[in-house]
Amino acid sequence: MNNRLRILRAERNWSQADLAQKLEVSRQSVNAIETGKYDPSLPLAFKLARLFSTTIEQIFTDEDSDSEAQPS
Amino acid sequence: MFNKNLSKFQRRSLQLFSSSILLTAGLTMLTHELFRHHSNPPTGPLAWILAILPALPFLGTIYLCLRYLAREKDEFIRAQVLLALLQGAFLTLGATVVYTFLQNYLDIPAPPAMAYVDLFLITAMVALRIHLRNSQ
Repeated sequence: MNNRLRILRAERNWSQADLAQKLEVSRQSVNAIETGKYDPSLPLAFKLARLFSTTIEQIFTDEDSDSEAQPS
Repeated sequence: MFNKNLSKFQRRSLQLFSSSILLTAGLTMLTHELFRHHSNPPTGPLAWILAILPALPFLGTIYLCLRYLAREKDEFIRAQVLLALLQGAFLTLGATVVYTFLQNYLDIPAPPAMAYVDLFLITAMVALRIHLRNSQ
C-alpha cells in the first residue's frame, strides 16, 4: 500500500511527533505508516482522512491500482 | 530500556510488569533456598504453599500482559508487542523441544526452575526492542 502521508504532513509543516499527537498514537506508528511498513486499521485511516480533510483514497492507494493507472 | 516516548499507560504497565517479574525471581530464589539449602526444609501444607508461591506473581504477569494488550490504544505498538510475544513463544518452544530430546537420550541435567520463562521473557523483550528500533 502506497500513501501520501509524508506529503500531506509536509504541506502542513507538521513533524511526525505533531501528527502522532493529533492521532493519539506513537511517533513510531506514524513513521511505520509513512514508510509503508504498517497498514493502519480502517478507524485509524478514517481518523487520518478527517484530520487532513480528505478521503482515505486520497491518502492511500493500492499498489495494484497504481500499476493499472500507469500505462506500460 | 523503552522509557523514551512511552505514554503514561505504557510506562505504568511496564512498571507493573517489571515489578511482577522481579517478585517472581525473588520468590523463586527464596523457595529454592528454603527447599534445597535449608537444614530443615518445609514440609506438609507449608511446603505446598511455598512451592506454588513463585508461580503466583508470574500468573499475575500473564494477566498484566493480557490486560495491556486489551487496553493498548496504539494499534501499531500493540501489533509489535503481539509479534514479539509470538516470536518469544516460538523460540522458547523450539528450545524446549531441542532440550527435551537431548534430555531423553543424553545424560544432561534438567534446566533450572523458570529457565524457560526467563528464555521467553528475554527473547520477547529483545524481539520487541528490535521491532521498535526498526520503526524509529
